[in-house]
Amino acid sequence: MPVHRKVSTMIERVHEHIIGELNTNTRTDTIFVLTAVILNLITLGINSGIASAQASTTSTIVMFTFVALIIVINFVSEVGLLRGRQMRRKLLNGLMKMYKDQGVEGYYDQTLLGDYRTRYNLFMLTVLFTGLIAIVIPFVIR
Amino acid sequence: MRQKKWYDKVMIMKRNIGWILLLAIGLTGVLMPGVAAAQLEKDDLLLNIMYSNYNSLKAGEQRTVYMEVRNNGSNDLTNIRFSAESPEGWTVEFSPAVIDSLASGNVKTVNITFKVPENAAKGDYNITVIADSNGLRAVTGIYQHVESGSLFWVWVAAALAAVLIVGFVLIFLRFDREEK
Repeated sequence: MPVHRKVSTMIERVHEHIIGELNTNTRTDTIFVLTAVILNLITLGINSGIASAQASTTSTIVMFTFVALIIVINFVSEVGLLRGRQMRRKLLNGLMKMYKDQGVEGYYDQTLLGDYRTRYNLFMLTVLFTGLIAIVIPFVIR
Repeated sequence: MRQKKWYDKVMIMKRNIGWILLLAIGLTGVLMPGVAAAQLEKDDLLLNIMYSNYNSLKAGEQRTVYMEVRNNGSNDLTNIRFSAESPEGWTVEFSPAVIDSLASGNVKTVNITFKVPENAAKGDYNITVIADSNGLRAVTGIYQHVESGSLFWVWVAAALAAVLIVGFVLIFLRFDREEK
């Protein structure tokens, strides 16, 4: 097999690998966002229910346990999303370099990288604010 | 002949049953007026609290409600004493605390002042009001909703929210620096 053909096959493989990684990255980030938002809303419901009932030591302990859960889940998903954003940037940079080497970089708009960043920041804000609501509202009701 | 004797016996029995029935009716007639008389002479005390349970109180606040005490019985009532079973820490006062005498059919008003303790948690509470008069007892209840007076839990929420925001900003800045 000639050398240039072998290199071309390898580039195809690397390209497939990067695309596969990007798909996995998207799936993981979606799971992080959905899990965090759903758990925040569920905890908001549970804690609001507890807060509107008669106050007792047990109910306070249960409330704080759920608050701890919210804080942990939100930090985990925020870190996960930041890592996801970092990973996507690295993968897309590699992809861009590959396109440049092949002379097809003109087909990929560089501003897409900035759009991804904005989208990730918005996802993180959504998670953060549902978490804040899930913490604050039950204590205000109480 | 035998048949006639049998017929005579049945007739005598019938006549006796008639007498027994007559006796029973007579006894009932004698007893019934007695029962009726006993029912006429009854003791009955009615308590009616006039208040709106939609008004909620905050911890530390007090409220006065009016209670109508009505003697619905046939006899005059004396020495009507008031007491209350209230949640822990609540104070309940009656004015007057004792009604010396209440004639049959008469009504008197009593002021009930209750105070919610400073540390009372938010919730619904019940106060049981009891009136005693020489073995006669009447009971009624007051329902009261209490709102939390302190902003303690709001501050707790604010502190937790601040922890979350500060944590998020720190993580965000750290990752941003890594990316640059």
